[in-house]
Amino acid sequence: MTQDIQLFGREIDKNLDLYELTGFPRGCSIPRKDAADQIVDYFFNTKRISHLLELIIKVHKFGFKGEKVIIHNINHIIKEMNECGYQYKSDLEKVVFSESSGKRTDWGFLEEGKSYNFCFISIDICGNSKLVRKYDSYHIKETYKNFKNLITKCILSRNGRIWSWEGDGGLVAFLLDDFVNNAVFTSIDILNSLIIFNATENFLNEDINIRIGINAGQAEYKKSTNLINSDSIELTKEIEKKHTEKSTISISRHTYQYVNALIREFMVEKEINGLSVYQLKLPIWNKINNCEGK
Amino acid sequence: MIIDVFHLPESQIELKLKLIEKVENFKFNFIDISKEPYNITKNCEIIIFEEEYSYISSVDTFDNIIKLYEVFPAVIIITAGRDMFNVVRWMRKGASDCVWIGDFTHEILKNSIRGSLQYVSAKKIGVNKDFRVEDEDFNYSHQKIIIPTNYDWNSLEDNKYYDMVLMMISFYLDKDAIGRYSEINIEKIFDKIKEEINSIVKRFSGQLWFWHNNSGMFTFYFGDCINCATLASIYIFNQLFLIYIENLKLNKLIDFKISLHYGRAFYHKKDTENITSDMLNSIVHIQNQYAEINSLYITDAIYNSLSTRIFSLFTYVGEFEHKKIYRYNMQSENS
Repeated sequence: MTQDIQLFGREIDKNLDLYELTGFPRGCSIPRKDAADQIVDYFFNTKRISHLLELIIKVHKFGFKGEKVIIHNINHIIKEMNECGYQYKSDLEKVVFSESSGKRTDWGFLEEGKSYNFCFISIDICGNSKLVRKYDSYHIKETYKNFKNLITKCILSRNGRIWSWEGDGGLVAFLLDDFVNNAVFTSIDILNSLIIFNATENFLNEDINIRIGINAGQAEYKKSTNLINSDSIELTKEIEKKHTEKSTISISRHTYQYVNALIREFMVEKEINGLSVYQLKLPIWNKINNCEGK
Repeated sequence: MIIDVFHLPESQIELKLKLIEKVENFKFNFIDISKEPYNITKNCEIIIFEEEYSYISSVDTFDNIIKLYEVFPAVIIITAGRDMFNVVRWMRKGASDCVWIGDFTHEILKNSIRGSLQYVSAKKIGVNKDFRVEDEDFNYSHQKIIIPTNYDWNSLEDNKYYDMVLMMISFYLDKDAIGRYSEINIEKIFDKIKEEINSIVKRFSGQLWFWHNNSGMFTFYFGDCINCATLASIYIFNQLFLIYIENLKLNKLIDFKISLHYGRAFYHKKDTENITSDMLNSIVHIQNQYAEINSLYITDAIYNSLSTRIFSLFTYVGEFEHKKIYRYNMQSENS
């Protein structure tokens, strides 16, 4: 039985040694309650309690080492877990921090210092410094506030997160589901919504135009998301700033291959300032009509 | 933008408006009603008129003032009384708004001026593109489109004519698609498309009037219905791409056409099959006989009243049944 509990714990920590933790001499049978208490304390102290909860729920659902396991009071455990701000996401098969009181930049489960694959979007208002010089701060502030609300709505609806924002633009990350396509869908949605924004919510005397750069790649997660940097993030920003035309979306070449095949048909390969990117612009249907020679 | 303000001698209005002037883009030209001749602003599009006691006591002075303007401006009446009939009389006289002096706050006046400017632009049917580029900054700033939030479609009565925008959307499946999808699936696809479009149209104060097979007719009546309908159609035009791929997960796009026309339409909520009107005929003809696939068309009745914020998105493409037709296909030139 001790052996079983040790094996259970080793699913999370391969080096777990119950004898060392409990102080019982090797070869002795450790009472079940002592073993279980030690396991809970150990993962609690090493800040891996969510991993343990995740394992308990998974074992209850799918069994352990080919055997069916029934965890008594599992519903009670889940309820307590929810009250402590955790939730089990069955699609991810993970215990994550609950986002019921607001979206988290870590989606509830990213760990500090660990690397993950993301798809990044860099968004920027074209000619921001000119606009700031030309218009009074009240109108700039109100317009940019509305602009950020628009961006936030488009991003959150596709499970993206804003990692940094500096008034006129920022960096957005996508992680879960079909994250590259979600980034592309969001970008198209933003460009389309911007037409409505300019007509109804823009306080300036001219349209706001934006550039969007998309690139997928790795980054090491930090709680202070505005401090996160990586080669992929740098490339995303560079694509947006130097290799994107006004009111268009530029996608890096290696990211292009993960984009939905139908959307790819509407992208044009273009060399902008020495870098080859794939460009998408509205109205998308113009491309069909032009291609058909109408 | 300069607004002529006709105020009573020793009025408090001047003081209150000067506070607003500091934070808004308005400039006021204060004119004492008792001191003729009046130094009015040429081409002034909006005036504020302070009523003396009531409509009856002020209407003659008002008429004399209005005669000085080449074009009837939008008029905001500042009234001391709360008599509803007094307000109705001013409205019949052509006032765009009546503000009770007791309610005279910054926000109320700001909204009244903005609303009046919308009223002016809505009345400018026939204004051409050249007029609108005379003063780009001015035109852009005051033509912000306001989407109405307070309206009731049940207020429209059956068997009556209303000036409204009709938006027709049709979808066309190619022969391959008909073979690829079952009849039930095609129905499901159209149902979903209808649902998605209807939810967008509602955001822009429109409603689905009727849907038949592969086509839908939507109406816009309240507020600045021309610009609201055009914005909705632009949004749908671009968003359909996402609806097809993201929501419906289609692997081939469905062709469509969108047409918009403004005019007097015979309205009935439910008995849509027996409705005929020139307006309805026109839009169906444009859609079926003129419009090309994957395009959005508007008639001159729409184009002539478009806000400066969106009119540059349309280009003239030709005439059809004595109407000038414009197509959405360009990036904005406002930038």
